[in-house]
Amino acid sequence: MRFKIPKRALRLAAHFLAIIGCTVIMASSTSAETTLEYLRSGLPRNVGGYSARSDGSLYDRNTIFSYIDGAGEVYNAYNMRACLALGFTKPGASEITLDIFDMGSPDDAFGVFTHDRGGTPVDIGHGGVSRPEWLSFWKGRFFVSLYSQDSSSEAAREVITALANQVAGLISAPPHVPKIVALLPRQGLDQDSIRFFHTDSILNFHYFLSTENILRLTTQTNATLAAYREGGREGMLLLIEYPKSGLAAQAEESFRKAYLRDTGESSITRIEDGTWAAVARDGAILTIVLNAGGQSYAEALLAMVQNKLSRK
Amino acid sequence: MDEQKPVLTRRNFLRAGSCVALGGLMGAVLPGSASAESVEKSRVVLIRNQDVLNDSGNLNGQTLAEMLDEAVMALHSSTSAEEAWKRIAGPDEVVGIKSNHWNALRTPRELEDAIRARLIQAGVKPDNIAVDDRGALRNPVFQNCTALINSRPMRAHHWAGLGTLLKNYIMFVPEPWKYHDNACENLGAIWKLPHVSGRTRLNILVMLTPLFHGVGPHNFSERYVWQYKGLIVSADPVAADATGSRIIQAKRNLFFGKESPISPQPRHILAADVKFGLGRFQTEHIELIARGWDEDRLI
Repeated sequence: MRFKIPKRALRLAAHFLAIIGCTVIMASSTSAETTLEYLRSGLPRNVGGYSARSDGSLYDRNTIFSYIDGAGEVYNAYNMRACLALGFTKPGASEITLDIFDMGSPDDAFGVFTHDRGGTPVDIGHGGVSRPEWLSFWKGRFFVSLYSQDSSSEAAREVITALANQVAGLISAPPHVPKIVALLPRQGLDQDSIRFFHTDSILNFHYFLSTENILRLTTQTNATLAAYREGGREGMLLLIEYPKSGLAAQAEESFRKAYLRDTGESSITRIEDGTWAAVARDGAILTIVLNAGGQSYAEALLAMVQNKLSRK
Repeated sequence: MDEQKPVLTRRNFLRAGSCVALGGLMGAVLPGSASAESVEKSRVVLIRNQDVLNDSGNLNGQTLAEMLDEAVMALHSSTSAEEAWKRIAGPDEVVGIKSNHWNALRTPRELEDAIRARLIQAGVKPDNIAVDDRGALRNPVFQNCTALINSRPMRAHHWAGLGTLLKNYIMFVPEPWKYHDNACENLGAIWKLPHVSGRTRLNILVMLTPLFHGVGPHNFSERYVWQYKGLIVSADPVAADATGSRIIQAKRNLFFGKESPISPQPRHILAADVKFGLGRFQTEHIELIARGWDEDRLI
C-alpha cells in the first residue's frame, strides 16, 4: 500500500526546516562575537599579581583603527572579524595587553601569524613565537598577541606565558595547514620563512616585487612565499591559487609583461642582481621562482612544484 | 591595474642602482629624474645636542627650545630667532600646530610649548594658536587656520613603514583608513586638500628617541628606540622625511648587523615627490645643514 504525504504536511515541514535553518545561520553569524565572549568569560581576572583592568573591549574591521591605528590594516588584510582587547595591570609595572583576534578561519589565523615570525619558537597553540616584549601564537581561527612595553621584566614575561597557555587551553581546534602551503615542496624548505597571505600589500612587505599589483592579488587569492636552501643554492617560491584558471592566466600574462618582458616566450630569466626568476602555471595555480641562485635551481624549484601538482 | 601607468618593479630599482635590499627607495636616483644641478634644492636642517636628554631619558626643555631656535634660524638664514619666527607667522594669523599624541612616543609637550611661545613672540595672538592631533578636524582654530606647523616623532609604522611628517596630516580627513591602500602610498593627496594645501610653514621631525623597528600590533618596544637627540627642520616635508628615513635605515643596518630594509617600504615619501609634487625626495635635491653634536650622526 502506498503512503501519500499530504501536501499541507509537506508545506508545514518545509516551513519548520526553514525556521531551523535560519536559526542555525543566525547562530553561526554571531559565533564570532559569541566565541570571543566565551574566551573572555574563561580568562582569569588575576594572574601573577596582575589584574584585569576591565572586561575588555571589542573591535571590528572598522573600529580596529581607533585601537591600533594603521596596524589594523594588517589584520584586515587577513579578513579579521573582531578583536578582543584586555589590559592587565600591576602597580609599578607596565600594562600587559592581551589581544585575541578572531580571524574567521584557521588559514587566516596562520597567515597573520606568519606575517611576523621573528623570535624564539614556543610550544603554545599551533605555533608560537616569543620576544622580550611580545608573545604571539595562533590556534584554530584565532591569533593571540600578548604585549608589554617593558621588555626587561622577567615577571611580566612569566605572566605573559601563563596567560598565553590559558588562552590556548580554552580554544579547541585541530592542527591545520592552508592548502596552498601544503603544496610547497619540502626539499630545501626553510619552514620559518613560510608566509601565507592574500594581497599584494602583504607580499611587498615580505618581498618587494612592484609598485603595482602585477600578480592581480585580491582577498580571494591564496598565496604562499617561502625560502629554499639546498647544497649552497638558494631561491624563493611564490605559489598563488586564484579562484579560476582564467584569472591565473591573466595574472601570468601581467607578470610576464611587467617582470619578464625581456625574455620573449621564455618563462625564465636572469635579472639585474644576477639571480633568476621564473613562472609556470597549472590551471588556477601560478608558480613563481624568485631570487634563484642559478638557472638550474630555478628550473629545479619549478619542477618540484610541478611534481607535487601532478600528484594532487 | 591602470595599463597607462608605468609599472615600477624591483628590477627598475636594481637597474637604477638603488639596493632594494637596503629599503629600496632611500637615496635612490630614480629613472628619468632631473639632475641635481637643474633642481632647486630643499633646505633641511638637522640639529642635535648631546645634553637635550640625560641618561635616564629626561628631556631638557630649555635645550630643546634652543635647538629649535637654532634650526629655524639656519633654515631661514636669519641672525636672530625672533626674525626667523616672524617669517613663519605674523600677528594676523591663525596657527594650528599639528602634533602627534601616540601614547608610546608623542611630540614632547616641551616642544609644543616652545613653538607656541615663539609664535606669540612673533605676534600671533594666543587665542589664535592651538595644538591638536586627533581632534584637529573639529578644532575651531584649525578650521580657521591660515598657517600650520607640523611636528611629530619619527617612528616605525606597521602599515606605512614609517610614521612621518607626511603621515601626520592623516587626521585632517574624516576617514583616515581610506588612505591606507598600498601602504599609505597616497598620503600626499591629503596635503592637496583645500583646507590643508599651502598652509604649512614649518615641519619639525622629532628625532630625539626615534623608533626604528616595530613589533606586534602595538608596534612599540623600548629595545628599538635610541637617543639620537635630534630635530629635523624644513619647509619641505618630503625632504625632512627622506632625511629622517635615511637615518632610520642606517640605524637598522647598524643594529641588526646586516642590510635590514624598512618594512613595509615607506612608499608615501617617494610618492609625495613624484606623484604629488610636495617636495624633494632624492638626496641630490636636498641641501642638508647639520648643526651641533656630530657623533653617530649616521648620515
